[in-house]
Amino acid sequence: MSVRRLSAGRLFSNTLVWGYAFLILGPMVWVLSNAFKFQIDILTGKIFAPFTWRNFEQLLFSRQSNFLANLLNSAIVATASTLIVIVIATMAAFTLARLKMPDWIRWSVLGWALLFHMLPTLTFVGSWYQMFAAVGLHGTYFALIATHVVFNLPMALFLMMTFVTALPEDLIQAARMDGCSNGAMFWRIVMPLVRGGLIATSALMFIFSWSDFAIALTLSSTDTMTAPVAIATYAQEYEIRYGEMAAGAAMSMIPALTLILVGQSFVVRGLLAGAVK
Amino acid sequence: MAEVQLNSISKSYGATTVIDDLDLTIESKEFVALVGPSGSGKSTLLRIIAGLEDISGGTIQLDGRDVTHIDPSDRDMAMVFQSYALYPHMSVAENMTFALRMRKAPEAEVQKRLDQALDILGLRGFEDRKPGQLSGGQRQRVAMGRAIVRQPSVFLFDEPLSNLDAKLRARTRLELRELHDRLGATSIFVTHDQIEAMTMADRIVLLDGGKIQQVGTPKDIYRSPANRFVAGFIGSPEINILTGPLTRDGDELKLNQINLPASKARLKQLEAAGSIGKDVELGIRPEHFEVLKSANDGSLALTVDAIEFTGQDVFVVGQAEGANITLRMDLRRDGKLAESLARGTVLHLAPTKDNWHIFDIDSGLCLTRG
Repeated sequence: MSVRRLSAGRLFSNTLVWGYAFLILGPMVWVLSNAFKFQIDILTGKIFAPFTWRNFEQLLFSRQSNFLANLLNSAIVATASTLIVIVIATMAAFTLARLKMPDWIRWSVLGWALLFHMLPTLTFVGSWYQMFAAVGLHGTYFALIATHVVFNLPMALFLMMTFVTALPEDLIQAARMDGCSNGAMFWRIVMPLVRGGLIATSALMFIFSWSDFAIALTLSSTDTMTAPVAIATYAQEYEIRYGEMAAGAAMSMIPALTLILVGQSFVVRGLLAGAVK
Repeated sequence: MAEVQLNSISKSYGATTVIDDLDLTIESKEFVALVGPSGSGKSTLLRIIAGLEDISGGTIQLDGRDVTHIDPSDRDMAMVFQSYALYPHMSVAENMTFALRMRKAPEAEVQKRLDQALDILGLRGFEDRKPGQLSGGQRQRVAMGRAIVRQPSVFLFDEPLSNLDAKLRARTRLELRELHDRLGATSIFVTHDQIEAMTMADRIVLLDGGKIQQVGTPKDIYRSPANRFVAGFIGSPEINILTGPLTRDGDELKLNQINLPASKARLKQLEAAGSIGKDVELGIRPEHFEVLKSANDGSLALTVDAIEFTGQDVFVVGQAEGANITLRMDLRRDGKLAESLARGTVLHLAPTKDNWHIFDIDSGLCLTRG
């Protein structure tokens, strides 16, 4: 009896998981396969079509395309904003979680961060455009990096808070008895012990910044255009270049996928690093 | 040389008072155990001495120097935590020398002290291991080593043995006491285990509800408890308590018909306290009964419920006068009798001379304390 009920339950959960996987993997497979097809085969909806590298060649080496530069822009913006976010978030998390301060300061910072995180990106984009345009910073790396920092900080702060609070209080007090100043405690005790969480959070922040479209569309110029915006430009007024779009999408997936694979193993390790006994 | 003096220390979280106007002086080179049930404030008190907790009032002096507002690291105290709190990312050697390096001690000195500590604790050969690669007992040693290398004037121990298994705990107890004598520092030891406190400490400070109940040597506290709480907390199995009116007939003292053999001095003491004729609580430790061959006028009839064999002693648990009574029988003396016991057997007990305590029912204070 129980065996049969169990297998029915398993069947249901398996279906659910595979269904969800299909929802995610289906479009990915479709895009990836399109990247290696001729435009005419994509338009006629052929599933099995002749293989070609043409889309990638066009994307990377044609004179009309700047895709390599766009990838580099994405890399610059994502790397810089991630570094800044992670340093601020980790220090802030340590301060909020482990140093003495009135509760109202702690809760107002966290409350503000949560509120900011809940508002949709597009709410800010318009005013950011005006602000940066007014001071002549529109289209610069600075504008993109600064906005990505502002936008990703709340999430990074919450993630790093969980990692820092997971450190046993005894460890912090032992360090205090051993003569650590707050700075020494941060660099010598907290940082090494939250390294796993740090890497996981960095990976996530990099992916957010890398895949951002709304902010980059509004604040970048031709010179600073990031990959997602560039991919969108292949949909033009008279012609949608599906092949190149698919190839661009495929290429921009690579760093994100790599980071997810690296990051997820660290999420697990990061959670275990604080164990006392 | 380090005398720790606490003057009217109090600590409260909001409206909850954890420590209430506490005075205590711990002599130089003394080994003092802070004992009490959970929530008695013993750990909080240790953390206050360490400087890890702020206080709401009072002062702390170390050798006459006021350290109340001095940073934990500048108090010349080292602490061994219950969880050991070893830095998981550092090796044994790095863990032990961290405090010295934070003070920028000369490398030769660091190495010398590390070598000494490794030898004392038998950790030689483990210097390069991470805490995660050590057994529980070894981690405990590293935690001690971390304190030893600092050569502090006061050692603070927060239940350092509670994570060890029973055998290792008994051994470490001895080693720790030996180490204390050898290092000549003042040690303050928090524990909820009365055996640890009794065996290791020069003096015991018994806390309950954030107040000191009694301060004294282990013998003192065991033999003449200040109040009902102390009598009940120290001693295992627990002291037996009977309630009833105390009556006197000439030189004979009785509680509920139970004859209490008393010296003249004790009679005088009880008379002076005005407790004759009043309801009081009588406390008798399990080993302070004599087993009689037959019932006599004034003996206590114990109906046996359970017999616990522990090797040298037998604990007999039963009912008498409507209360649970435990009797400790020494097998060397009462071996034959103990063998013959069974559930339902009735034993006749008599308290021995002056080996009992009378407590005031309202205040719980001991009225027979000499």
